[in-house]
Amino acid sequence: MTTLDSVKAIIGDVLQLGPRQDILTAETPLLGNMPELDSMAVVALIATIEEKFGILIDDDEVDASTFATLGTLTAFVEQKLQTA
Amino acid sequence: MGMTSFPMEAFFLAVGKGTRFCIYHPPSARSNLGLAAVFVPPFAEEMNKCRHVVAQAARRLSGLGIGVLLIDLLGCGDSSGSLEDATWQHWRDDITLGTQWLRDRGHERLMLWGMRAGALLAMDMAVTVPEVYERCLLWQPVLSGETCLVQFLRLSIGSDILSGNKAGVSIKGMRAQLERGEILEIAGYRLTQALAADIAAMTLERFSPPCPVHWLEVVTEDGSGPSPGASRVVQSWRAAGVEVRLITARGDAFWSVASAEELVQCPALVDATAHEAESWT
Repeated sequence: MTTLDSVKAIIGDVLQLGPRQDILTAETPLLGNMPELDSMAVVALIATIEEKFGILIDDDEVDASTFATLGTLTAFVEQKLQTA
Repeated sequence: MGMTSFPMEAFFLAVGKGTRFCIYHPPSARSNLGLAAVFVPPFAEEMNKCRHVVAQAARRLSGLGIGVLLIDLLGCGDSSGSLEDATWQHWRDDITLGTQWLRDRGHERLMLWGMRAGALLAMDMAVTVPEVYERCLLWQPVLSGETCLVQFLRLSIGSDILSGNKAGVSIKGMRAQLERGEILEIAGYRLTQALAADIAAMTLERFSPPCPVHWLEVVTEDGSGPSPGASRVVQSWRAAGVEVRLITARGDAFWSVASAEELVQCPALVDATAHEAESWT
């Protein structure tokens, strides 16, 4: 599984997207586009990413731009994995 | 699973001036193996999200002839004291107390069953007194106490995490408050620096288990493998010669405090646990 697939699966899982998860691509906008992605869902999403990848995300490393698209979020995770 | 229900016992264990609330699921009379598990609970609010699934698994283990003791640690659940009185050492003492209680009940074989942050405490105990526990069952273990602490603190930040300026509350700010000796109240729990520092210092990887480990991870899709983080720790344990079974069970994150309000079931995890236990003869 690529990092993008893993992140996609985590989003589908946390937001309970069901089959809608399958149509997500790197360009799919997340924040502001998905009604399910409210503030608590963002917290849950960060926690799940931390646990699945075994990384720690500092609150000053993320802002709205991190969650702009599936691609930006995946790039953030990949960069974290490289520096972990 | 038959329809027979085994009588569970709920009671308070006396400790100094306080008490610890316990629930004991005795092994079914027909197939008593002499084996019993002490359940080491998740941290803070996660425990309340888990009790129902833990109770289901405890009843299944009981039916297989394995006793289970569920103990609320100092400052948690229905035990005495407040979380601000608790340290990691107190919790270790509580697990020792529960273990001794099971011995007094005639259990000669003992094991630990740790969930989430409780897996860190369980592995800490297993490494500290390697002669006591013959195996460990881990449910969705927390890999890093540091991450666990940050996630707990983050509960009080919520949506502010994306607000760019971070002028209000921040993880760094809260940790600085703790270091100054302030007590933080988060989701009704009063957290001290002593406990926060103890939790943050724990990582699962550094405990090389002295006994076989059954690691059960909940995954949302059938056939998807264990998470990269879990695989990494298991790999390092195996390299050190530890016998580890890494099993995935399909279900949702029923322990998650950030998710929906209602309780989530996880029957596949209960089934997988019973399946693992069939080899503990």
